[in-house]
Amino acid sequence: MAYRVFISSISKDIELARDLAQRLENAGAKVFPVEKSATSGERIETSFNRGLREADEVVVILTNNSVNSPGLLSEMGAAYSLGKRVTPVALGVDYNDLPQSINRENYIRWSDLPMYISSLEKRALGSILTELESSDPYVRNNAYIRIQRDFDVGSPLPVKLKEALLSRVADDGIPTGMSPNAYDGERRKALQCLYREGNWNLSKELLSIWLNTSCGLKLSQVMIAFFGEPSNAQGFDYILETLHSAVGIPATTLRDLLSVIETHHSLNRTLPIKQVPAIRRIAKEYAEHENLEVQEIAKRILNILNLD
Amino acid sequence: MTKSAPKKRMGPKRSKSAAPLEYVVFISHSSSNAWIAHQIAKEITALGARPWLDKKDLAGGDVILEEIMRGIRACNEAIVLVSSKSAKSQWVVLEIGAVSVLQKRVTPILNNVSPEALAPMKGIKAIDLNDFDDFLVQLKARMTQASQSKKRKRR
Repeated sequence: MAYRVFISSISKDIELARDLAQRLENAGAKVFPVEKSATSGERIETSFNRGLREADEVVVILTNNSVNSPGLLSEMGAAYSLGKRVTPVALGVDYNDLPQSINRENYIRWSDLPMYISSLEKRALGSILTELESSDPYVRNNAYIRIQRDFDVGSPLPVKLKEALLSRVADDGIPTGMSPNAYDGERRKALQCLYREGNWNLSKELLSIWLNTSCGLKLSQVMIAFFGEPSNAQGFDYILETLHSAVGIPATTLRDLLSVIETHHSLNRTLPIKQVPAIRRIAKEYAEHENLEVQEIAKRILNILNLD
Repeated sequence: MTKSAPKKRMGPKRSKSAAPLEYVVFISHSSSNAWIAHQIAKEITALGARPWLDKKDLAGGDVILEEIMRGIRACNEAIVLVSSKSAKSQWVVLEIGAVSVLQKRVTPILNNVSPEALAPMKGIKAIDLNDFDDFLVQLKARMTQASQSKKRKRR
């Protein structure tokens, strides 16, 4: 499971909450949207956000605005009685004004956040980072599976995790005792994990690695990822376009594309193709191709697109 | 549930057979209300429930949050004694939140203070200390209901 953090704050402090959320997400936590979690703070809360119940830990933002806010204090009490790990972070509040319940030793200052965040990072990423560095391929494989399961498609990966994955993708020679196939396969898995970000810049970065290595990544895998998750549209479109203008789309790739589209079409699923203008553009161009086989595949793609 | 309830200093000795049906009422108060809190505890004991006084003042001013949370988790319902001094206190609010998130009933009991002194809240009705007898009648009804549903579950 992804590691979930709930930020308890009042709407006056929303900017602080946003800043904190960003920093926690970079460290690998999944933060409940602060726009939804911030309370007006005027009334005592008696029904609570699902995000609070589901959180693995709670961070409370204490400022002079919020330190006496009924909304914030009741939420803090709720977090305590639910048995959460609660970390109040104080900014600009006088020591004597802190809630007595904190016992005044149980809180941190805003300037202590880096220390808290690095300990959170350990809890959030758990053993994934060490697993990725393991010499045992089965342990590493487990890490890839966990990444695919725990991190949402379309949201940024934690910085440290991204670095570890990129170093796995980079081609620094096949380690002794590893087959070329296994080596390629592992780089592919790491790349798939990175691709989950669906991030335009990352796609570009990965694409250059991809085009400059012969690790045998198949575009069809990216396609399947896209059809499973239409939010990847922008990244998919970019990959197709770049690949097309850099090296052209190979016939095998075009065939893969056709078969994925055909499968979806026969299952009567609405194709999220409109968000990927590159498909139609490339198919149109290849319908005029000198190779008859390529022409044929491109025409069949166009047919389905026109039917859809 | 009652098996895990920790040893307490307050409240009656319970017989083994009655233990599973015990109905625990958590009482939150501040030092200025200590005498009243103990009277309330006596009334609750007389009714057959077990009072659980919070230990804010027992630990010599040094508040043990985890102790209070243990009481809140172990109780069937809670009452919060509110005086004019404590109406705006951080503790009162914190405890109301702590009880309601567990979907347990929490009743603020107002000692010489108007309901408006408390911050607004949804779904919670404060009562005046002078109406405490009414509260006891309702409490008795809830205890009966709870023990019947427990018996039914055991069958």
